[in-house]
Parts: sequence; structure tokens; C-alpha cells
Amino acid sequence: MKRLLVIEDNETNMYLIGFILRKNKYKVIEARTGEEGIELALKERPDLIIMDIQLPGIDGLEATRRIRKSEIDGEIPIIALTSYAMTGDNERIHAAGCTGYIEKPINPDTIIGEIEKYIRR
Amino acid sequence: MKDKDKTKVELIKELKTTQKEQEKGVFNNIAEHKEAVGELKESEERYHAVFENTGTATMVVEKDMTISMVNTQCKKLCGYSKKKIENKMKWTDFIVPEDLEKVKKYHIARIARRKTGKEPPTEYEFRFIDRKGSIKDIFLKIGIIPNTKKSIASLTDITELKQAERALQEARDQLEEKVAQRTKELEDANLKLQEIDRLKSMFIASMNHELRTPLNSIIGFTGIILQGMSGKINKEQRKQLTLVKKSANHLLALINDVIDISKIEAGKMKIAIKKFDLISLAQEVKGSFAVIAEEKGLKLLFQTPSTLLIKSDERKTRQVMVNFISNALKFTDRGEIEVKIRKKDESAEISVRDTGVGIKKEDMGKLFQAFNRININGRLTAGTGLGLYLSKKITDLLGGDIKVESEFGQGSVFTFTLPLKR
Repeated sequence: MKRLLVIEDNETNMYLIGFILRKNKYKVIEARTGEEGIELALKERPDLIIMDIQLPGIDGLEATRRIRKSEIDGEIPIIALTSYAMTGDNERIHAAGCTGYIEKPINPDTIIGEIEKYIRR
Repeated sequence: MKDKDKTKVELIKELKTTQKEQEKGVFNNIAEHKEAVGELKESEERYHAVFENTGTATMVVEKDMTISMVNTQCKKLCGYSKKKIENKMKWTDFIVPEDLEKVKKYHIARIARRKTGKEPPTEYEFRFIDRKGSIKDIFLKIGIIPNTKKSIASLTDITELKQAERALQEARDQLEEKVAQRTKELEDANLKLQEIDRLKSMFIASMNHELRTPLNSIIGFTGIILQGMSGKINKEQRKQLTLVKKSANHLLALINDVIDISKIEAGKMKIAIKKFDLISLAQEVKGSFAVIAEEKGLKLLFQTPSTLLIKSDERKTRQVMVNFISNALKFTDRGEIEVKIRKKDESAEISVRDTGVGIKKEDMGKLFQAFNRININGRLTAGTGLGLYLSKKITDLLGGDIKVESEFGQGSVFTFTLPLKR
């Protein structure tokens, strides 16, 4: 069973994503802040990380950078959850170390397909 | 003849001659003297005339500062009669006390130079006070008269000149102050503008986030329920939830468009220029509309070269393409939609032709206005009314053009061109 780490501070969004993922037979590890996310990423080594960009404290991009810095055995795919306004900053997202991005609002019909492109085999 | 032989007569004659000559000599001396005196007098008169008529107030000053001579102009300047001034008053009596120190310094320097034998006339300014107590600004030129202990000085009234100088300096000072003030005002205004600009960015980013967050839930959970993930749903529930989903998507489209417009209007719309293949993009877009076209029974045709590389903003180009094609599909009930792409000089030309309802002449002018939606059979068409408005703004941003040709009842051709190298 593939293990996915979701880093999202909004309760409702976490519930939504978690619901969809669990229904599709993924184990979901939840983190509410960037700091918690970094800790769990390094401890749990999930098969994919879904990272909301807008987080309190350190934002998603900074969290991504720190995870990348500390990784020793290969990179975990990190998918950024972005808002439309910020997509002019695709370079920033890639530069921080993100593998890909998905725009909010999440489309429940297509999200599984989009994620599965990136999951570590 | 020996002297003693000379007759008395002859001696007397000689004496008388000598006497006459002596008298002549004396007479000549007297005459010469008279002539000399006459010449001297003439010379003095000439000199006096020159002195009187120099056109400038002039005075002769003794070693001890006493004024020995003034011309009429100088007398007028001083305000006293010649009798009162000459050999009685000192020229320092006419210097404003505060300026005495300054003048003394010049005087001492002048005397020091005089010892070298050569001394050009000295010039300086000081304030002059006349009999009435009026103060004038005077320009003085003074020099020694050679072989005498006297100096001759010319005084020019430069009061008006000085006043003008002072007024000019004051005006300059005032101007400088104004400039400093204005500069400060501009700096403050600039800071304010920067602050407003920063607030605009924050506002747009914030609004964007706030408006999308609820939509996450609406679109997300209706989707989940419609997929049956939360349990079985009946037909009615499906129908109603589908309507909710449609509304939510419409709302999302509106938010996207409004955020786009806000960004453009605030000058914050960023362009990401990179090389991409226009034809690959077109194929991708074609793929996304294939289903809708089929559902409506419309043919979706593409006439393009195999590749066309362009340097522009891919995402925004897609936006305009999608706008044109979705409009074409919306307003066409039968027939076909043809997308043509070709290279024209230094630009790429993308046109979308449809066999739809067309546009009335009177509606053509309003096409690219914001929130303009066409009325067909009494119903407003679906959409935000912002699609074409944004397409126009985006094309402008990318350095391109839009044009429309239409025949009401026959169809339309929407064309946009983009420079191959933005």
C-alpha cells in the first residue's frame, strides 16, 4: 500500500484530500504545518508528498527546500498545491525542488490520475 | 681802437644797448612768465573741465583721508556744498560704519602695494551714507596721482544693481527652498505609491486565496458524492448535485477572469516567455474540445503546419485559443469549426472560423468590452462576458493583434496574431 504525506493547514481541505486518497486505497499521513511536514517527511519516507504552498509559519516552498536539503537516499516526489494567481511563478516552484504542481480547487474527478503520474514506484 | 679810446658816446651806446638787451631780457622773461602763467591757467582750466565732466562722481583725497576736491556730481552724491566738503570733510565720513573695517583693510593693502611703486587703481564696493542719511551702494575706483600724496577716486552708484542682485539671490534661495520642498513631496508621494502598489499585490493575492478556498469544498465534495464515494445516490440527487457542480465551475471561471482582470489593471500581469511549439499546443487544446464538439454534432477541423515554433507565453496563448474555440462551439449549432494556423511574416496567425449564428453589425463594437454577453432569443449566453475582453488584453500584452469578421446568420472568423519572437 502506497503511503502519501499531505501537508495542509486547512481542516476542510485536509478532510477532502484525505477522503479521496483513502477511498483510492492510499495510506494518508497528515501534517498541519511546514515544520511538522518536514519532520514526518524525513521520518516516514512516504511515496509522495502533497504540499500546500500557503502554510502558516514556513511556507510550502521553504519546507520543500529543507526537505530536499536533508534527503540522502533519493528524492521523494513533491506535488505543490497552488492557486491560480501564483502560477506565474512556475520557475519558483521548480527551483524550490517541487516535482510538479496541481492547481486549486482540486478536481476530484482528475486528481487521482494527476497524482499517480508522480508516485514513486 | 682801445677801450679807453672809445668815446664816452660809444660806451654809453654800448651800455644803452646792453641795458636795452637786459630790459628786453627782463621783458622777455616777464612775457615768458606771463605766457607761462597763461598756459598754466589754460591747463588748469582744461584739467578742471575734465574733472568736472568725467560723467562720474569723482573726488581727490589727501593722504589723511581729507577730501580736497569734488566735482559737481560727487558733491550731489554727498549732499553737501563744495565749500563744506573740500578740505574739511574726510571721505570716511561717508562710509557706513559697519563697512569701515572692510574699507580700512583695502586701504592698508593698497598702501602696502604703493610702496612697490606700481599700483593699479583699486576697486571695491561699500555702502555710502549721504547728508540725509540715505544709504547707497557705491562702486569705488581709487588710484594715486603720481608724484603726489593724493589719490583720485571715482564713485558709481550701484544701488539699483545691488538691489537687483539681492532680489535675484532671494529669488534663488526661495526657488531652492521650493525645489527642496517639492522634492520631499515627491519622495513622500513615491513612498505612498510604492506602498499602494504593495497593498494592491497583497490584495489580489489575498482575494484570490479567499475566494478559492470555499470553492475547494463545494467542487470537491460535490465531486466526491457524485462519484458515489460517499455512498449511493439517487437520480434526483445526482441531477441536483450536477447543477451545484455546474454553478461552482461557473463561479470558478468568474473568479479566474476577475483575478486576471485585476492583475492586468494593476499592471501586475506577469508574462512567462519561452519557446514552444504552437502546433503542439493547438493539438492539446483540440483534444480537450473533441468531446464537446462531438456531443453537439459539430466537426472540429484543424489546418496547420506540422510545427511552428514561437517565443511567447504558452499559458496565455492557450487561454486565447480556448476562448475562441469555446465561443465558436457555444454559438454554432450545426456545421463546423475550423482552426487555421499559419506563419505570416514575423508573426503567427491563428484563426477560428465557425458556421454559427454570426454577429450583428451593431454588436461588433461591444465585442471586446468587459461583461458583454450576447442575447440570443431573449437569453443571455452562458459564460462570464469577460473572455473576449481578456483575450484582447492578453494579445496586447503579448504584442499581438485581434480581428473579427462576421456575417450575421452565416458565421464568424476570429483571428489573433502573435509575434514569433516576443
